[in-house]
Amino acid sequence: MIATLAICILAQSGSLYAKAFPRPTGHNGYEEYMQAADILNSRAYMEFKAWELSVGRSPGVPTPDGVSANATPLTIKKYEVDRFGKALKLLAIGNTKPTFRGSSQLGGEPQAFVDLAQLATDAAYVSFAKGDWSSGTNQLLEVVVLGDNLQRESTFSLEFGSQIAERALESFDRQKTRWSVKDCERIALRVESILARPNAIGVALDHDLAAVIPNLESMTTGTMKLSEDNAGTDIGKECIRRLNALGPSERIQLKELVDHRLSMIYGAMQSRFQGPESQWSAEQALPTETELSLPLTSMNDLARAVCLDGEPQYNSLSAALRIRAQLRILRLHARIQAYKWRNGRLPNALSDAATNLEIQDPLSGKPFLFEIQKDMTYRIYSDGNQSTGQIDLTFLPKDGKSSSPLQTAPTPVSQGINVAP
Amino acid sequence: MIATLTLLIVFQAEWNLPALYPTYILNPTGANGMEDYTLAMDLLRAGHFNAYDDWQSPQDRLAGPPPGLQGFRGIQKPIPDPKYIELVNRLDGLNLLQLRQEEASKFGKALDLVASGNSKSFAFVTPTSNFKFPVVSDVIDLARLGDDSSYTALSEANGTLAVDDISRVLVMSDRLARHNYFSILVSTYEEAHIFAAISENLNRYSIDDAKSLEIITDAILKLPAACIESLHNEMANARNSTREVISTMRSAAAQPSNDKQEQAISRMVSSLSDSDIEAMTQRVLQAMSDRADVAFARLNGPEENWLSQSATEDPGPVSDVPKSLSDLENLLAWYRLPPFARNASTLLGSLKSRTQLRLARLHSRIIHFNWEWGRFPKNLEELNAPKDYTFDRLSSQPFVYELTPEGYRLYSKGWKQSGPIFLDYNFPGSPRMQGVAP
Repeated sequence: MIATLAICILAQSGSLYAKAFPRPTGHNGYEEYMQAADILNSRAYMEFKAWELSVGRSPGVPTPDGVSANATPLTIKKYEVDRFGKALKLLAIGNTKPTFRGSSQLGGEPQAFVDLAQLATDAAYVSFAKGDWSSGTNQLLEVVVLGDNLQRESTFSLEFGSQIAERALESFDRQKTRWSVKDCERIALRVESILARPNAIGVALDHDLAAVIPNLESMTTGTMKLSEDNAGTDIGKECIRRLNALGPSERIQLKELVDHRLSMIYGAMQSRFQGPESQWSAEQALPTETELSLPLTSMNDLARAVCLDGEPQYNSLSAALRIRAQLRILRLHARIQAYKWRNGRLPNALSDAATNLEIQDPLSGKPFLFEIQKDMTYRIYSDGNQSTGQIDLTFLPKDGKSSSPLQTAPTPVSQGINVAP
Repeated sequence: MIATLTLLIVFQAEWNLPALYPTYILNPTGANGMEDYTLAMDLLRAGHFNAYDDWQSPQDRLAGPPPGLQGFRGIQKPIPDPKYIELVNRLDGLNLLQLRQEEASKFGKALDLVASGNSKSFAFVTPTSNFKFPVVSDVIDLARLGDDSSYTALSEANGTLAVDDISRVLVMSDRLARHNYFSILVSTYEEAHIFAAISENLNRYSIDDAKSLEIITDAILKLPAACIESLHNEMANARNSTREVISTMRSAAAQPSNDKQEQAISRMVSSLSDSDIEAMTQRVLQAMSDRADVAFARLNGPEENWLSQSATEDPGPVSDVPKSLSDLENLLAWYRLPPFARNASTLLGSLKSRTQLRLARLHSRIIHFNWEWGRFPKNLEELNAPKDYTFDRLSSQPFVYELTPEGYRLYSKGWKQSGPIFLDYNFPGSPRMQGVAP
């Protein structure tokens, strides 16, 4: 009963794809992503997931046609891939094109993308179980590319995209001793091409700014009707109350203050992330400010309040930095595994298996660390920085409680206090 | 035992090796698998397989490519064939994978011949009754080729071929083992390579690979044990040659000797008539049969009893110097017996191989379970395998299965002289970790 209700709540009515792309171009990979999201947002998939989650826990959830109630996890994965595998083909097609969501508002796709990443890792598992290492590796690489593309949407999605990619990295970590030499080469090449792209943080900042400027402009000029009910905080309510009371000259003054503030914030960030990667960890100090509190006594305070929701998602930055380190670690694992095949043993040092450039970790400013452990096992990790801590291929939060950072999709958020009229 | 075999290998590693086929296969039929095996060995000899093998000797693998022929393996050898020198120098420039890829490509036909031989009936043919076949190093080279070819296949993500390569030499090894005690020793050594290769690659096998491995190991285990067939063969040979041995003793009695045993035997047999010799032969054969019957009865019983305390207590003759004709007959009957009939502990090598076959079969089930359920079984019962799969006949108790942070450990507690037996068993006191969670 509860599962059925959950399906009703979760299943979105209508097509996410049609809503997001009323006039599709065929040239934007995000269109394929959204078509894939539609498959995983369907009632059939929701029913399947509800049943899968109930297996061995809560009997009574109807078993989908074509699968046994006593099926093993592998059989369930095979069924899932057979039935919903078209989403993976769409993902692969989408990954061959440039991608851009084109709107700061996310619809129902985050959960669908989490499901898509899970479907792809399940498909990879099925391929590995069948001995088809090449397909399995490709499926996981498609998830990494999806994560990288999602990162570029906004600074909010930096973290979400990182978490999507980490699903694949975790799976890579478990399977790495099974990679063939060709898998190793394929992985290294794909990582190389991802790292060579314009960096996701810079692109995300551009997208943020492009979305924020018109929003804040409409707020400050008064072209958008604002209601205190749309604000979630006391500062937000006060801000809207003050905005609605502004006269024309005050609005001009406020706009100048807001533009200056955005320029200062984004300018500092852009400058940081357009420089060498080794300097990305060093946060550039902004002018010291007191914490914003009520009442908003000056125009400057009001400008600060207006900009609050227009600022980049600073918390997402460390996730973006972490994923780049993890991608480099993935490449190093590929180099090590290839070395092991070629020489029948582990290298004594990373430099035996990888180039000088590959072993440098821009995040920590030091080479990646390589430790040989017992039984031909080893660890490669980054010392990270203050915000990330040490980084392995599998992400381990500092509390060490979970090796899987993304259990469900984050709740979609809106940029700015005014975007949900 | 292993040291002896190693010496044999070293001294048989010649540079210009003659072909085996024309020496051993005097009347080729095309229907005997042994003919294919011999041809496979000849292919390795002709292509200087030992150059590839030497490159990979443990010390060279640890130190990187060998510096050349000087001090090769630290053993002074005769000046080799110039073609061999040229080959070794070229191989020096390869890494392990390149070497094995070349090896698999160059000698792949040999594994095809092994497969062809496996598909035929099999009978040992030797030019003379005391001819030692198979040649130790050639058989082991085939195992190494199977191991290396399997490695190459796995590096190319071809698990099917990898298991196929291993299976081919495993089946051949089991067939060769059925000839005599010596061939069992050789096969045990050969199988050690194969089991080590399987162990190393367990976590690379897919479900289908695991199934193939299970099928092949199960099929071998369902055959009568090689040691039983070997004992039958050896008893037949012993019976056929006992009369000749006793007659030879009588003719040799005229020769002076300082050996007390020989002097004692000479005194007893020099005056025996032909009918005495015949009667003595019959009594010796009867005594041999009586002892062999005990061994056969034991081998036809449960495998867990093959090494039981009572089975290993036969002390044999009290003295090597006979005091009477009866003593001599006892002595002859004892020494003419194949080792398996004389002392059950000689079965240990064969039992170790069978235990490892069972371990390989059980590992296959565990790998399959792991893929199916995404975790290792909590215990062996969870596998739902036939009881025969999980029961270790060598230790007369279930195989030991332990979950570890890295995966699991599976082994037999072994027998008192063996220590625990893992799939990649080397020597007592060196248990290895097995299995890595995918």
